[in-house]
Amino acid sequence: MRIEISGKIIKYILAIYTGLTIGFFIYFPISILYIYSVNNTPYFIPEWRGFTLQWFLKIFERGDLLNSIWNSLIIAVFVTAISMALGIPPSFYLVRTKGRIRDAYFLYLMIPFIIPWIIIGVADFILFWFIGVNKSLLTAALSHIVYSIPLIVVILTPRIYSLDPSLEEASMDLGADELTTFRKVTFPLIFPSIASAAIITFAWSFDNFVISYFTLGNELTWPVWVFSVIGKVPRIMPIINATSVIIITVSSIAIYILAKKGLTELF
Amino acid sequence: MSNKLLDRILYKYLIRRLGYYLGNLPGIIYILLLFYAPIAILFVISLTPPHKYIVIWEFTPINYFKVFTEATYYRILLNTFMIVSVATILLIIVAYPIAYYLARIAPNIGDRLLLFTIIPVEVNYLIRIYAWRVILGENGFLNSLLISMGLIHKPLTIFFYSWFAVVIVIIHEYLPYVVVPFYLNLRGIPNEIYEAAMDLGASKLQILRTITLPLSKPGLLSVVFIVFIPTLGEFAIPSLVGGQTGLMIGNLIDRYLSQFNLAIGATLSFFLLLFSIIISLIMIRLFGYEALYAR
Repeated sequence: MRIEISGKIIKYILAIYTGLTIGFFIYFPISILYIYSVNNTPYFIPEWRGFTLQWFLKIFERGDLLNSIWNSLIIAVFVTAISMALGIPPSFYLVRTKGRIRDAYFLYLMIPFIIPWIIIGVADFILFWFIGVNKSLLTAALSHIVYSIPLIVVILTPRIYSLDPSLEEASMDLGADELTTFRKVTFPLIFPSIASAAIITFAWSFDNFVISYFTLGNELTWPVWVFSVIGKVPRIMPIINATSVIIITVSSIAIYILAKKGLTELF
Repeated sequence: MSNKLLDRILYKYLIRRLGYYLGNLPGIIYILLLFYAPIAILFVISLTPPHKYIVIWEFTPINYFKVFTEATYYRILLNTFMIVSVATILLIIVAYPIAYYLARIAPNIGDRLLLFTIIPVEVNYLIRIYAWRVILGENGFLNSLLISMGLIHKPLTIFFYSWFAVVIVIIHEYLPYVVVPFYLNLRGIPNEIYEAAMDLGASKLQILRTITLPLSKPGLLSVVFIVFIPTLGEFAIPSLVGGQTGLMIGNLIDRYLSQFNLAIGATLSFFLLLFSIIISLIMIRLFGYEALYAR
């Protein structure tokens, strides 16, 4: 009886702890963004000054802001497309072969993945200076791909590994060639994993700050533009805030729907 | 007949080989040109004497000595290591009970709750750092709360522009990603093990010590790859909330690159690269590649 009660108490304590911790560390700062996006003051002071939608309307007066979001979207699409094309073949190769060459190849691909992003940024910053290429959106996108190829490999390999090989063998036994088997059997089976790899890569690239910071030219992406105006341009914070509220809301709903439909697995 | 069959097998084998090479080659070349080659250039430049705006093509290891002997550098290196270590340890302590609760006590809501904690931290990294300025700042929420509760009379300044703020923001940024590997770990332990232990009369504490904690070790290892190594290169968080005590190696690298003192910037980056690779290789050697995958 005593054990029963103490077990229950531990359960309640853990439940309250989980709620409070997630509430404080994750939702408290995010709810602040939501509250200030409709608070009628340009300053982030702990005071309610009445409801307003002016910050949302002012987004459309800032051409540089809209431009930076557009740039981020372009880069994210480009990075996702190229890194999928470059990342899917190694994922299959790494699952289906064994031996030292495979292990070395895996390490070769993984080193850019495990190190801090700033190193990719600095290395490519120096590369573009060394070969005399002017930095632009393209150089930033090319630098993103260094990280997103192994990112895709890490997302895809465990899922390819868990594929039932007998399905492909059956297809081959029935006379389908490799390409047909891939198109009709393998690809549909791993489509959800490929979709989640694409979504995660897209979100990562859209939001990446460090690599872009070192490899962008005059055209800025959304995070780098925000960094460049924080604390420097007066009365811009509430507008940035309203924009980010839109981005968080839209992306959360999109990811939630995709996850619900089984099109993506975030973990 | 058999010759024809052999031909076909050989043909298939060749096609498959060729397919693999054609499929893998572009990625290999890409990483070579945009990662390994730049790293080589970076290393060469780290061996040139420090100078602004130009690189003098003479070679000396002086920068590496500088980094380890001059206080301005090694203090910040140590500071980085301290901040990241404290944040990683705190994250493990904070995240583990959450993972335990979600995986073993409330498994029916675990997946959904985790999804809801991961989704909001997927995007808008910079503005979320800014939100913490509103909470931790001198006239922020935390100080207003403490003053209204009568605990303090003047706003405290230690919360903000300090290493403390950097640690808090790192916890915010990485908490869901640390819960996930522990959660997957703990969820994977079969119930029968617990039942057997209880049948044999093990106490709750014994179960925790001999079953739950040892089986969470893989999760602990992936935390090194998820938090410790990536945050070593953190740069936006310390610049936005770190102040003087929260300076990290990323700020130092940025300072030298924006002065176009490439030699020092390259030295610091190369040191960071070596340090990260050595830690990773030790982890991989000791515990296998699985630690990478919980990400």
